Amino acid sequence: MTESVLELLDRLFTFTFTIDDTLSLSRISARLGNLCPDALCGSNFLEVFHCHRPAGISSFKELSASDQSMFLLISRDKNLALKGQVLPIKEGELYQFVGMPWLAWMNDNAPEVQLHLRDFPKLDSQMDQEFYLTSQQSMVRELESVNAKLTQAEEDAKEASKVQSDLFAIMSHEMRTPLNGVISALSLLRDENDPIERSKLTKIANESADNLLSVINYALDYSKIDAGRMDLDSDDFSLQGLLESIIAVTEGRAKAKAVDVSYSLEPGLPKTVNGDAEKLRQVLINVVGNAIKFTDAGKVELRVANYNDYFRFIVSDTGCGIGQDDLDHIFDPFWGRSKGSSESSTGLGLNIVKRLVELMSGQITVESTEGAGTTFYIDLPFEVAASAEVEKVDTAKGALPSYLSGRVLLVDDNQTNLMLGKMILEKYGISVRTASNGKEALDIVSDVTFDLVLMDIAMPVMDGSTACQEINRLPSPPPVIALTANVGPKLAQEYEKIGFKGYLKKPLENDSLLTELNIWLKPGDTSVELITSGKEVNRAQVLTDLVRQLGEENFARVKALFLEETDRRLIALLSAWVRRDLEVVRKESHTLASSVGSFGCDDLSWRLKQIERASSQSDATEIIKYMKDIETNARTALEAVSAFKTSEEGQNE
Amino acid sequence: MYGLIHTALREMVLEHHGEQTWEAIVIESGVPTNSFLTMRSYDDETTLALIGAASKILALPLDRSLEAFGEYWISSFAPKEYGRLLDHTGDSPIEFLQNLDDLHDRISTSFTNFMPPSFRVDIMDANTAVVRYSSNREGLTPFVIGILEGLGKRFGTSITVSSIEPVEVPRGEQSNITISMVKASD
Repeated sequence: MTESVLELLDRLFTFTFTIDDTLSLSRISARLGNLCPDALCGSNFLEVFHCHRPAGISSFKELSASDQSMFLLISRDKNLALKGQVLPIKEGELYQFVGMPWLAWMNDNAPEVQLHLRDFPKLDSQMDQEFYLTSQQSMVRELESVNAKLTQAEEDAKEASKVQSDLFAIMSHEMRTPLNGVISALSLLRDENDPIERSKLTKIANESADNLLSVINYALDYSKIDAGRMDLDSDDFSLQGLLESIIAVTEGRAKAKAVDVSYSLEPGLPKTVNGDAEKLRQVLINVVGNAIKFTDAGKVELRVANYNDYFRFIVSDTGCGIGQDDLDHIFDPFWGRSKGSSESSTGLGLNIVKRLVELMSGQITVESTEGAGTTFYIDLPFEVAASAEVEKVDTAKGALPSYLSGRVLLVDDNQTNLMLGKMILEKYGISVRTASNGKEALDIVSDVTFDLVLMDIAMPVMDGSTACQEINRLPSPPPVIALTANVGPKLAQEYEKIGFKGYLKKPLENDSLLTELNIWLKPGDTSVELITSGKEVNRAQVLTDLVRQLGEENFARVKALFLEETDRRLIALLSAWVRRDLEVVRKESHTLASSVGSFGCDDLSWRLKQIERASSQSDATEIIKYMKDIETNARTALEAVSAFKTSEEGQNE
Repeated sequence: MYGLIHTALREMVLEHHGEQTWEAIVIESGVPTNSFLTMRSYDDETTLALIGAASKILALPLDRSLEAFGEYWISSFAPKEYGRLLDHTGDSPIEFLQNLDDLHDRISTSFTNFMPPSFRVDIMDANTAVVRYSSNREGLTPFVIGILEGLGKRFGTSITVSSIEPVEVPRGEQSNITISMVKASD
């Protein structure tokens, strides 16, 4: 091997030295000299290095015989390890070591020794491997972390599934029990001729069916709350009105048991509050109903008081009370079925009550003395209604002018609403033109000047919001007021953002309509006496009011139109539901809710609103809940409207 | 780019802004996963979408976000994951930059589809150098600026970028970045 070849080897390898037949070192590379001070010219190979591989080298002869092997050398001071091989310069006399740092050993045993990238020849792959292995270790750590998360998620899912299965098992049992009652009673009824026994069996079947319905309703509510699909509504409502309705619903059962049921409001409470009235109603009916159930004689009181920043609803009874052991479980599902009461019970009501109260960010607590009665405290963070202030302002202002002058464009795709609205507005002395959708309204407003536009929101061709925005782009646009069946605390801001100057809730109420009209229209010459409804409305009252507002002849025309259109839309709604076309279901229920509300069919309107809400959320379970009775409910309501006779019609009969 | 980059970005956001911010960034980016594997190669679009979303959510200009990320990469993430390799790469900012191409070349043999940038260093005087950066990707010069500032911190040297001169290239990006260096002990 010539000198020039040795020089080339020095360039290829970073650590080189020559070994002669006495194992003496020479031509030691500079970097090796730096890192291994014992490696000096003339020093003995075996005194400087421990030969890790090939193992057991103790002579030049053994070294020269291993020239095909990999050499792994460790300096005696343990600061450097080399990886390489020996090449014969002169067979049997001189050998050349060529190599590089043994990186794995260095990392483990001499990490403080600073190696450089240049210490590793380009052809050496140790550095590449180190990066690769480090990355792989990092990825293994990540995968282990992801795996741990997945394992946890799997355990959570199993636990949730177990809870669901347990509940399902309980629920199945609870459904089978009353169902057996229905089946058995009906089976016995078939062969029973004694009227008294038949009556008893019918009662058992009815009670069992009611029980079954309660369990099913619970299951529906439970799953909704559990899935976070139980929405909270927020609207202004009268506290007194709500309490009165609860007493009205429960006092029948109370009277039958000689229990006196009453309500009271602490002085100074606001008349109107803002919150979810329907859920509060469900809670209070349940708790008051429970109190009556467990009180054989005496009284049940429902009181409302201020409690810190909460409204506290207190339901107390003089019933049998609850033992301490049971108090701890009173809100558990299926607790206390029929305990202490002769009436049947599913034991589900209080569980749902607690869930609903918590959904409304409130809390429910209970105190009881066995034999002396029970008191429930329901604390809810309702807000004082903003409308309470408006009411005061209105009262101070006195009566508003009720005959007005101006041109109004009324826009609605529901022909009944359109006709009804037109007639009401005309009664105020207003000139009215109508349009059936946003596009038609936009075309009319582009040609004709109006003082006000009353615009429905959900309409075909062009919706009310788009139409409002388009109208506002016109030069000198008229003010546009939204007509909506929607409710919610942020509604005013949302409509204002779109460009509406205000909004009116459908069905139109005289007071709010007149207030809005007085803002935008001038007072007229003549005064017309209007009917104001400040009391609880019912169908007969609404229809009577309509007759007085429209006149008997007009009312008869509107009624006929209403019956025809409702019938048609009802069929469209049901057939859309059969097709599971939820968009059409939503639109039809929206329109129907509005028009039947105008005719005082409050319950039907409410059901339709629930269907509209559920279909907009694609919640088929919820739709079924309200859809199953809708046709019967609608037929009953329409028959009642149809049967309503004006005095003129009555005389003609 | 490799998942390593995405992991580093996530680490930076988690460290300074928390889990919710990172989730918001992932949602904003439209990237369908929140988990990245270090050794998996992802489309450049994924990386750029995440960086763009981070810039938007953190309300920082894109250049500033890239600089911060570059500095985090070299000061915090890379030392934590590849400390020894960085130690081998150099004892001073200049030596480190001079060896960067060698380091990247070695990585290229293990990581297929690895398209590293290139760094050449021209030393002007004891305190001034021109870093000639070129990449197949566009828009990452601010990331390099962040790396240079981070390198300064690593070696106790104040590095100031005195000029950035873009060089027109048919594909990707090339910048000549002039830096001034002052050793802390100077």
